[in-house]
Amino acid sequence: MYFEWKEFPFRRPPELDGRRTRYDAAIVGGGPVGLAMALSLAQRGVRCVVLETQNQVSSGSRAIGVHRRTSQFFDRLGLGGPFGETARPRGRNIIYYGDQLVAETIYERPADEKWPMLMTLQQCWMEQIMLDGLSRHSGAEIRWGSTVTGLLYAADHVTLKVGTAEGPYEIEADFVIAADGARGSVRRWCGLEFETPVSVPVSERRFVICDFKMECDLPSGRRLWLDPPYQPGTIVIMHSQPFNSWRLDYAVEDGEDAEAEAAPEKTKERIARHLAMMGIDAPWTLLWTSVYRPLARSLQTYRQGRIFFVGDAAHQTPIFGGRGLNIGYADVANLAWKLAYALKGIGSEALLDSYSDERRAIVMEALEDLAQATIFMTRPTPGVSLMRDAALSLSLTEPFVAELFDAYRARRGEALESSFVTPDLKSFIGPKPGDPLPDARLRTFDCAAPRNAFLYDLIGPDFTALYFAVNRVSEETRLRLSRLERLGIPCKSIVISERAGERPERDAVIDAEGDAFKAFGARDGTLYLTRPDLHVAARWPDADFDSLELALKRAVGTPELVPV
Amino acid sequence: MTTEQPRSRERCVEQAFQVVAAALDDVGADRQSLFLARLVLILSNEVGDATIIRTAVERARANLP
Repeated sequence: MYFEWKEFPFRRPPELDGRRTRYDAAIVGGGPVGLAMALSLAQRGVRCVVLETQNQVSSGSRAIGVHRRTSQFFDRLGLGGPFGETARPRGRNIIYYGDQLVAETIYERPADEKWPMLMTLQQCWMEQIMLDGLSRHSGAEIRWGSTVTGLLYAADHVTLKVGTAEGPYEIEADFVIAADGARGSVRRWCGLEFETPVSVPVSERRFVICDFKMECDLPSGRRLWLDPPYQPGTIVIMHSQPFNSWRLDYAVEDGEDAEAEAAPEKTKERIARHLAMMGIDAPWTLLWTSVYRPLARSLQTYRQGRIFFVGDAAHQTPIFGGRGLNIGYADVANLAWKLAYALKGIGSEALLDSYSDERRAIVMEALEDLAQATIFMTRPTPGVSLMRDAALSLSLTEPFVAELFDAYRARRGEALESSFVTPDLKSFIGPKPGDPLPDARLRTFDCAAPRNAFLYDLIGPDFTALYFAVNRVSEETRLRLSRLERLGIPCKSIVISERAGERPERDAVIDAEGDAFKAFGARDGTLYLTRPDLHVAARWPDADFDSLELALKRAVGTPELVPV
Repeated sequence: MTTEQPRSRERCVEQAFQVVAAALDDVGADRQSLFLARLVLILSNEVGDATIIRTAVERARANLP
């Protein structure tokens, strides 16, 4: 087995003996998103408790795809080490028609990025790494074997009813984060329902997903077969995973029974036929098998007063393109700092609303972006079947058809459309307001010897102003940058110099490889403001510190500065 | 729509009429739909304008006997 599941004991909480504590936040659900939320909050000094029904991390065929943004997220949680040691880069994306190669994309590792574009890691490992991280924080507590059975809303807090083996109790928190998944109860108690965007077809199509263990020197990657010879007319996807695990993913055909198809005997038969087609005769063992139905749904809002919805509890994206959990982590990155600021009295009530507005827009866009791949894979109507057959049969000779079925080619919008972001007065090359902040290789002189570092490693948990300097930085500029810390909104600054002077200053950060100036379209005096979740909040081709202060206030929702 | 077609366009439509007819006969009744669907995908990629395709689909559908 690639993972040793252990049972975490239920520990009798003080509430069962009549002692009450008001927590800053209670997280319903200890899956990957709930644990990430707990860690992100604990890292920001928020006292939180996670309530999880199970007594162990998840099992079965679950999330494996990790986008670069997620690797960076783990890194910023202080988990880059263990994460990097366990996750494996996805080397390539290969498409076959029948048994012929249609396209092969090799993912090169760009030198100016710390993390590969795509990695794979089993969900149980992601959860375990988060748990290990949490064990180093006293501010976060996980309660296993604890099921939230109801909630009571008060003006200044929420009370959760918790059921345990040793009886029920109540727990109070300023905020509740619902990370209780697609079948979660919290949304029902709040009277919220999922809806599917009109442009996305609803399909009853089921897929079988099974993982098996096999030692084999096949290079890592995702392989997609259109019309495999042993099962014409179908599409089969095979993923490599860490620890010699592999995943096979295929649709249940019309007239077949999903549960019967996912039975271990049937699945083994399919794996055997598939490996025979590939000419692989290595021994293998089946690990898991499950039935999956692609859903494209979102709540209308991810916030209900003091309750916030994250991950699958807020939305479900179809599996094609491997986005689901990545979107969940991005929810956490967006929400954690806002909650922490709200608890410290920084920013306005509207800042909390912005979580829902910003994330929902991105999720709806992702559902639209994945609509084509979903239609293609699920074949909801005879018309779609005909068009799919046409596209499949062209895939060898007409490369353009790949865009119809390769979800990894679909657009991946990560830019925020938000009134909390200050639009450009003067546009220029580089990441626009709302865009994810690019990373860059830099050299620092914070100790005696110069040291290589990535920009992301230098950015703290709060707002950061990035000032680009070609010439010597004036005293006036230094003064204005240092004044940022006095606005009552946590903000640091980093000066990125184009080159090291004769004697670099103690805190100098040098763009030794030229990455940063290029990535940011910067010249002498260019200024960026980045949010704690590493999206550009505002930027100026030539620094304007009065505007910077306004942009910072706007980014936390200072009322008169956020247009309605 | 304009009734006066340039000479080259007239030629093109004539050609299309004839070569598609020949291809339809050639592929046989059971593969005609698949053939036409493939043709549409290739032509759409050549045209590169979603509005033209959508309008064409509507016009082809309207008053379908």
